[in-house]
Amino acid sequence: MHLDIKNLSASFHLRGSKVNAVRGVSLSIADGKTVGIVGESGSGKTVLSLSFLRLLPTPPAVVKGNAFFGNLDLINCSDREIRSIRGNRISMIFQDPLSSFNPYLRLSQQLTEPLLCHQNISRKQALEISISMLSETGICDPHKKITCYPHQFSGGMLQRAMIAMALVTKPDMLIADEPTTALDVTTQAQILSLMKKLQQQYSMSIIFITHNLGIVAGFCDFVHVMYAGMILESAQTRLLFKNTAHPYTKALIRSVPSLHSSVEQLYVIGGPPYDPSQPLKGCPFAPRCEFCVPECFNEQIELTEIEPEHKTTCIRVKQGELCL
Amino acid sequence: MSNTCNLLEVKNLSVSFTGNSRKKNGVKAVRDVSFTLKKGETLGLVGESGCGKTTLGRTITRFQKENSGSINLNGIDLCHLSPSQLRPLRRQMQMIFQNPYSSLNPRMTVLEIIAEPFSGKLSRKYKISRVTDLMVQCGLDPEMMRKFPHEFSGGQRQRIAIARAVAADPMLIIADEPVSSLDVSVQAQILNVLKSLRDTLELTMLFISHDLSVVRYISQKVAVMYQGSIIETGKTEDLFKNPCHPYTRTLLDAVPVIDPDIIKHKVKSILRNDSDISEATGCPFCLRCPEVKNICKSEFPNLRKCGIEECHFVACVNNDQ
Repeated sequence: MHLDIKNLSASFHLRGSKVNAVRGVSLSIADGKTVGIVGESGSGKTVLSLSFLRLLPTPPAVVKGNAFFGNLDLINCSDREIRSIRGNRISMIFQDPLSSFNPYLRLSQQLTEPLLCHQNISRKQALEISISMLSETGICDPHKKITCYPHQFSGGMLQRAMIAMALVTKPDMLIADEPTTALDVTTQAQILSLMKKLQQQYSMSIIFITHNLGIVAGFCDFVHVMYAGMILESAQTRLLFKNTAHPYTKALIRSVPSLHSSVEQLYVIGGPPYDPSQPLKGCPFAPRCEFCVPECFNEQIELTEIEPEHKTTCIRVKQGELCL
Repeated sequence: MSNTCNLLEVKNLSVSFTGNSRKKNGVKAVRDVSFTLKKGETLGLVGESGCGKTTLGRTITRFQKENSGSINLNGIDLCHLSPSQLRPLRRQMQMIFQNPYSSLNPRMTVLEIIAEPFSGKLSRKYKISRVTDLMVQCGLDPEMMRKFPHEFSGGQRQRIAIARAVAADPMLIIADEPVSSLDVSVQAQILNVLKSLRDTLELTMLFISHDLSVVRYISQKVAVMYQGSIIETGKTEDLFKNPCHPYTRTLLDAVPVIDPDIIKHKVKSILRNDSDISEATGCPFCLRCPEVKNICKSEFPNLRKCGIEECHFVACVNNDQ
């Protein structure tokens, strides 16, 4: 199912000040594709996904805009409608598997819950589906393991159980919010290949939220780079790395230590990170950008296409003054 | 190996945890680990979670008692000291922890946190000037020294933790995954701070991490651990250019690479399974190894010299041919 987010913004009113976490983001995700959302912490990537699933408490949050899932606008539909979508046709995997399970309940109860809520089936059938899903994610002896409590699992196993829980209802879309950040590189590689396999099997689309550009390069079809609640660059993955068109993306790429060559000094993005409570004028990255010119602080930025499947907001790149 | 300029010498160190009725023999967290560190050197310790790298670090700082083996810091055997003899030496070994949100006391100001390791009675003025220096060295604004940890971001807190570790002028710093909870951009800043401090203060560091690219950046020597034993060790350049142990190659393969044109070979080794703690006598990696032979299951491989490079050792029987 196609997801079309149009001009979505989310802000919080806190003690008189207004914090704009997401500012007018538009993006669309086609069937069966993997879309990556990259950015530093505080760039609004998690708030973006929570806002169109209506998981943000309102108030203090104020969510505006549209998010069309098929014909249904997720932002403006009734609570009853969003509940029938959330956890059923759109599922989410969270960053920290250890704190996302209820420690008091057996996994069997937690894994069958989405099925019992959304589908009209018996407890026994739900348990059978959960067990087969658990074995699908590569947990051996799932009949026995499903009666365990979360603390009896390791981090990698819990993340698998979480993926199983998200997929029991066979959703059309999976939102993965930094699903491998808490894991080892080897476990991470396993989880990623598992997600790829299940994606093909159930032909779902995945929104992959991460700050790891390496994962994006190998896993996603399309990437949006977020900063200060806005998308600064969006491109097909290969174009993003081969033909980088925003200084912020370039800076992110350069600050990752390389496995294949040794460098003397890592590149560091100078200056303080963006403060979301400040009003915005011009490009949000301009104060930290090494290529900025006075126009950067004044001109309204806009995401425009510079080549097929590649958009940027950087005015200097658009004018051809800057080649990164 | 008995070189006098070795600052830290760990010999045949083993640590095991007992007490669980299910596993009668206990869990062997560290098995027969030996390595040396010269002054000013950084050793990167890499491995998956649960391989014993943190336990090794904790044993060296004497948070954990060893079962056998010896730890020698600057010629002093740490294993047979009384608590009162150990106390002045603890100052010489400082730790930087993974989570900067839980490793700083929320009730102390930054000034108190960084000044706490200073020895003896010092005037407040002197303390403030030392803390100012340290904060500048770690990239913090000295104006903020009267603030509390909750007023700082994760990267800033990690800088405070580094300043505190350096404050006592220690011989050895043990950094236990200091950047793994941080963003890439902040991670780069912290790594640069550690590297510049290491070069200016000639710090000796044991850098524990599961991220090989970070280890490559910061350390001169690398040791790869698997299930408590060091299975490959060598100079950083040699080890990354010519990884000899199948496990090291697995780890290298698993790191996502930023270039979309590099097609990753599939992670070849049999995937990790939590039940595969091998109790057998053979190679600990034999259950997952893609190049396993019959001999691997019966013979425990010792660290042997590998290839032409100096100081490159590997514990794999396949490497002997």
